Amino acid sequence: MGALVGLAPLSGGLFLGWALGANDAANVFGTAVAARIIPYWRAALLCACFVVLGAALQGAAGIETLSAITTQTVTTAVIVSIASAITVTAMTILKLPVSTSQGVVGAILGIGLATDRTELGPLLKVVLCWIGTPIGSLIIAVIAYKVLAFGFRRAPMSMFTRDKILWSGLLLVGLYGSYALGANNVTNTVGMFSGLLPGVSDRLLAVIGGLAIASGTITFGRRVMLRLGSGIMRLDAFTAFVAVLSMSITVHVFAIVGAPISTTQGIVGATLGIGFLRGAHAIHFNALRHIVVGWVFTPIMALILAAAGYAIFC
Amino acid sequence: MFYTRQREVEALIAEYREQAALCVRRFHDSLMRYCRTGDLAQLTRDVVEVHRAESRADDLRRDIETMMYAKALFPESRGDVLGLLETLDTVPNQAELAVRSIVNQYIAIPEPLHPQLSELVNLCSRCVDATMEAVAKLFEDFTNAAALLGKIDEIESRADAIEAQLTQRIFASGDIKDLDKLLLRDLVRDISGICDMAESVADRIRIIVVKRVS
Repeated sequence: MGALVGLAPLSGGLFLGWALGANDAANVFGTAVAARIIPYWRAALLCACFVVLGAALQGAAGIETLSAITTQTVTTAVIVSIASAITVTAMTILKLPVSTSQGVVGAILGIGLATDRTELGPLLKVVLCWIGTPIGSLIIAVIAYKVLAFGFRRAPMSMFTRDKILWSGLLLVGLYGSYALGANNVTNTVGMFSGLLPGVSDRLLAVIGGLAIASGTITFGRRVMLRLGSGIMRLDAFTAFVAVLSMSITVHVFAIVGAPISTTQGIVGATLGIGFLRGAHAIHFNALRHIVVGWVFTPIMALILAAAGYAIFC
Repeated sequence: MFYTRQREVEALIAEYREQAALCVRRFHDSLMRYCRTGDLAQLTRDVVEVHRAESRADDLRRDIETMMYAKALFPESRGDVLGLLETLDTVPNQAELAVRSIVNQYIAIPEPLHPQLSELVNLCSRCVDATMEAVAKLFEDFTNAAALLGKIDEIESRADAIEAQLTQRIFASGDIKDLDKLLLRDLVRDISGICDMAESVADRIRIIVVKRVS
């Protein structure tokens, strides 16, 4: 009981993890589930397992980076998680694509500015990685599309064999994407509590965050998965495979580097890359404008809320 | 589950192709025999065989559609296969329609028309064989299916030319009654229609292939 009370400050982070799981699982399995290629429950359970696995095995690196941006107390960590959660919820209500990592880093920066204890080095690393996410994902998607399309579209096979390969491919990249999602994004949910809870190591924190993301995927992921994707362009099975693969590679690389990034930015970059290859007419530029607005306002709103929260409660 | 349904659909489509091809073979054999013998009673018996193959093909098509609606295959492939089957099914239907019209309307084919009519029937048979081969290719190596489509177009053009020649001969003939001329013209149009249907299937195949290789 005492241990549970000790973990109470984590509740804001767990809520954030739940929201992240509900939203971001669509980035890895959305296309396959919406197209009824993989049943929702199978996708959700597999995604949840691999999210926890990714968080447990490779989630700690990002937690170290996030905790290095500024020093947190239990109170400021709670403010960060709640400010991020409010931002994520508000953006979701406004139907703007939301990046939890931008919300969390914006809120941490808000606390850092309020306390005048911001470390610019780690912050710069995170911001550079944000810029690098869609660009990296776009480049990987262009290369992957060119290479895979060359071989895949010319290989002698029946149209059903092609479907089988794509089905297996979508399942595998979905699992890989789930692993990368857990490894990278667990930082966003519980990273701010690093070193603040007695007896809770970064690894254990990562497992708890992973479980929170998994619970969001299982309990609320269906609606988002069926609504599907960024709406930037229509993806068929092959382009969805390339997009999820490119996003997963990018997110995984940044997980190894220890930079918390957004799977949404990753999938948007990859989809844009494919869109440019298929001709600009395939891209819905209105949806793209919508996304950019979300990217700009998410960290700003979280920053203001966290700074205001600090001014009121600390 | 996904793999099992695909295999079942693939097996049913192969069976469907066989039945549709059998229907057109029976159409071919019965018309050739009718041209040789003029035996309407025999043709009436042959129509039953043509109908049996057409009906079996219809049953198989319904089975495939039911399986498709039960969520077999990728949605894009599901739409493509359903569209292909719908178009393919017009081929045996047209073959049955052609032989049945002879029986129902007691159409006698004048001897001077036999060589060209036989050639038209042969072309229909070849066109359908090429079409079935192209359909089979989709399920073996779809990138090569397009190579057969040129052959179908070529046969269809030849069939159109013979249809036109036959129509002119029918109406130029002084030995054929006016009403019979109209019946014969419709018969020729119905027979040539088999090639038109086969060409529509070829167009479907072309789209299926282009969607996957471009």
